[in-house]
Amino acid sequence: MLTDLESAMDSLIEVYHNYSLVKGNYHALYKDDLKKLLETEGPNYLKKKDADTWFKELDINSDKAINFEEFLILVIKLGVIAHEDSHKE
Amino acid sequence: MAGLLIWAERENVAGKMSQMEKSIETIINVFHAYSVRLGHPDTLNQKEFKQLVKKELPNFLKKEKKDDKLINHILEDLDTNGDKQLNFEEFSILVGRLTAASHEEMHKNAPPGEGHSHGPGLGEGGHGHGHSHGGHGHSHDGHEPATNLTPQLLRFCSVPAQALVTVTLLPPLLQR
Repeated sequence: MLTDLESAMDSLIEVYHNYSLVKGNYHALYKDDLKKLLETEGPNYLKKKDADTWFKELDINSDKAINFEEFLILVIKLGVIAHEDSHKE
Repeated sequence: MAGLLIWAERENVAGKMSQMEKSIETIINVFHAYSVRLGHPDTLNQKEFKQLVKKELPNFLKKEKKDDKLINHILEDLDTNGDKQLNFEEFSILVGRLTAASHEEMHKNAPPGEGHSHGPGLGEGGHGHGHSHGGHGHSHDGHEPATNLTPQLLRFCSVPAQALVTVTLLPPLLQR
């Protein structure tokens, strides 16, 4: 039985694939896929940075797609922002 | 802490957190549940980290949880600012590495064939949680026993020099 923390990590894998499997390479989020993901899964994170900016920032290898490792960088960045926010109110 | 509770409560009452937001919230809540125990309330010291690994990561760090030396080694590896504590940023790197390791495990356990499919992730071997994504892939597994995870976890958790792209990329990228 996985713990809540372990399940949360596996759940993030599922979130990625919900958008990456829509088209093309199974492990590629194209620009519009990332936009859809952010709009659906974390609209709050688009307030300060739009989807195109996020895409440019995350596409480290400049192959016009966000692979799973690059997605994890997004998750970590969003986690760090959410953690900061958790102490603000 | 009061602020934290209000924050969590507000989101829950709103009842419209996405799957990703819920996952992130869980990660933050688990971190805080241990970080508040001793010393600085927003960092994990060695004792708190050990408790967290044993209680919250028993399947993902199956081998490591039994070995205090290994747990300390993971902490040292993650402690990039060298203060002997893990702040949330440093802890997040572990979350990223373990998520990557679980994803890799799912592919290792996936049935052969066309399309994209996953077998069980880390610590799930033999429990039948395999699943397939996409209309044209196929998957019918979930029964293969987990392979020995040690080399993989060593790569993600203990040996930074051999790390994958995730490991090497993450720390510099975090400096916003």
